[in-house]
Amino acid sequence: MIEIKNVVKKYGDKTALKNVSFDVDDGEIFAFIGHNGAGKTTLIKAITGIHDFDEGEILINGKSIKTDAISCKKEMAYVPDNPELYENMKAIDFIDFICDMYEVPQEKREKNVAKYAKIFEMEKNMNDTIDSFSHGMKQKVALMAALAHEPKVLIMDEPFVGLDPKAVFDMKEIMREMIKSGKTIFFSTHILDVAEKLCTKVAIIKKGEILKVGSMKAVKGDKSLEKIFLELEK
Amino acid sequence: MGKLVSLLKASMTEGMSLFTIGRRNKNGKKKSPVLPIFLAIIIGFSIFSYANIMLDSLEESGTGFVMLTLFVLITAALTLIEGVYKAGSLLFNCKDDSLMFSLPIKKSTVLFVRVFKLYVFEVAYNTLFMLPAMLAYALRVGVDWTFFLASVAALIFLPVIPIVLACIIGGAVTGVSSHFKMKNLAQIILTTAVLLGVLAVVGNLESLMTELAKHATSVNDLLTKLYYPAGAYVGMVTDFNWLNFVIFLGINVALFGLMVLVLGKIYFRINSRAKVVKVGARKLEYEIKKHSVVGAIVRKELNKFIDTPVFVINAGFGLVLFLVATIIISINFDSLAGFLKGYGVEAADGFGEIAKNFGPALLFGLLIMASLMSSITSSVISLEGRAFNILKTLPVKPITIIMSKVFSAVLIMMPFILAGDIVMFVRFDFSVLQILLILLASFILPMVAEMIGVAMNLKYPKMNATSDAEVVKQSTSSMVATFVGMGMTMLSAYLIIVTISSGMPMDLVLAIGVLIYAVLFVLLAIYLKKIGTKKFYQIEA
Repeated sequence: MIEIKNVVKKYGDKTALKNVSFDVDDGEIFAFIGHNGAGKTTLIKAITGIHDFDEGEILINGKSIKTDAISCKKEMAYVPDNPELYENMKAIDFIDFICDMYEVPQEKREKNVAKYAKIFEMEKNMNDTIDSFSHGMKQKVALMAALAHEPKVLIMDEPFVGLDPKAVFDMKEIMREMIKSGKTIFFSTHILDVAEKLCTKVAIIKKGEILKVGSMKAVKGDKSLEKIFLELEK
Repeated sequence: MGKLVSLLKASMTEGMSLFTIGRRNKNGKKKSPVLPIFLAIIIGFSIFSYANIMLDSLEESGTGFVMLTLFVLITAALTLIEGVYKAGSLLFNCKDDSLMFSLPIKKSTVLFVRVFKLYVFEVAYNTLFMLPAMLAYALRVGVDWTFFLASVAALIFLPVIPIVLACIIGGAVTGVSSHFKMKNLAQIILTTAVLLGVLAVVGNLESLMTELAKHATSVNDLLTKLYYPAGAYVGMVTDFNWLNFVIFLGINVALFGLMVLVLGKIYFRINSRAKVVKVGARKLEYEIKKHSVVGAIVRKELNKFIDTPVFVINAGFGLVLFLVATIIISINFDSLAGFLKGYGVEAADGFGEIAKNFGPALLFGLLIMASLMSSITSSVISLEGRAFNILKTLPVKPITIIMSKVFSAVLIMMPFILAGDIVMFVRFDFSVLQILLILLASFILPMVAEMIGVAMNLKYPKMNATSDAEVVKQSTSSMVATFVGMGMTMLSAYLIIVTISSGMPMDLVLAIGVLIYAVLFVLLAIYLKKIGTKKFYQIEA
């Protein structure tokens, strides 16, 4: 579970997040949508401990990211919008490295790496260095590394960008499977159709302020998410 | 022309963070200019003092200009050596290649912009060394306005020829190594071979000068034959004439333009080849291996080190020189003992006593120099680039990551350091206590040096570099760490000489030296744990 309470983040004189508050419960897929520069990545970076924030509190399964960052991170995985990985490493070495950091047992990592390499059709590329990969393949490696340690909370920034249609389909299936086992998924996206069909909850952010948050049904009512989003953005 | 100005402006703003101190970052905080300015003043003052010492003896014979010549030759050699291993990384296979080559500009313009960036940095670097020497000369000798005109021209144009040569060599090395499957390894080997060649030429300068002197009509003629810019500058300083001034400017501008024109023709082809990543035969089997957290980070760091030619050459060169120095000293100690006697260092039982006293002192001094001058970690944070965010999201304490980076660097240094120690232990007479102290120093000194390096990089990170050379050689942190190392080496050498001269026993000198660095080690560990951790989280990739 993710609890975000009155989070404020300032860049000098500019306030990037203004009293942002909402919860993401276990077993939920939560879509976070907004314009470019609205504050999506800033909030995601605050949740994952990449950026500090000035006021408020963020709790991951009851633990504060400010005061107990390591415990929070142990339960989380983060997939960035632009997969900047260690380009000189082989795909398998990078995933192994991430697994080492999360102290994943040998058997578990073997099982998960084999599983996700097959799903993402990366089995033949595991021994290649990441600098030889396309954007989509790098994204797949980032997703595999994130999923290999079976995180309780999965945070993703634009996870579908660059993925081929089959990988998008598979990723959506993986996400559905994860929430069935009570895990929490929070991601930002510009693909509103996907958000509408996949997510149970949604938040719309504009200029650092949450305009609307709630269950998908409550937020969009009878309209499409796209229509609601465009209306709020006016 | 407008396009070129815009390109240069964008390139300089993006790449030369060294010159953006004082600008506010995303969080509205200013980079503090105090430490870099303080270090520049210290170095400038040291060079000014050294130049004055040289002038003391030279001015008696009215040949003060020889001091300027020596400075020109030394800075030219340094610029060439630096330029050779920076050119491969700064000009080719840069992160902004896609953007630059998609713009409606000539490929040679892209080359010009990149060479210009290297050139501006070298002008600044040369100025740091040349300006104090020029000021010392002006104050001592008494000069007119032509000296200042010639000196300003020299500061601007002296780096041109070494840069032109470095770019040609860098292009050739990149071009040849791009034909190999293991192109990084080929680049490291070829660059090292070229650098050793340059060092061999510089080392044989004395015999070269003797040979040239036979055919020279004057000192000025000799210098011009040896290295044209040195002769031209000294000629303008001692006997200014406008024609020589214009020729000096013309030759430099023409050479720069010619290099851009010629290299520009094949630049895109070399760059394209250098970018190709050769993929081996597809294998379905892959190996999954569990490591400890520290072990995994160390492996990652070593992997990155080996895969970054400019990093390997930058760190490896000093370490190889340390090993070579211990071997040369061991082989040629008789002549060194003779040299010391020339300075009044007499020993009651001849060679044996000198060896006994100076072996440990020399090794300790060399260890300090080799450790503090090769700061591998001063760029390890910056080299992460945007991937630094991966480290920030890991469930690992920042101090573990920071110290793993330090251990990796020490691991790279240890084989060279220990080999040098063994060579000296075999050749000279060390007591058991001295061996133990030296071995302790061999661990503590690299640790201190690398902890200073990583502390500097945490303070002055550069996460948006377009090439590895920019962070390894041209970033604030690498410069500051080098200057700190230089200062500490000079101070340590001074203290060693003073304490030995005062008759303090060698064992005690070593023990005090090791103790001082051990205290520094503890202080740095506390700093990194408390402040370093905070800085780690403040870095925005």
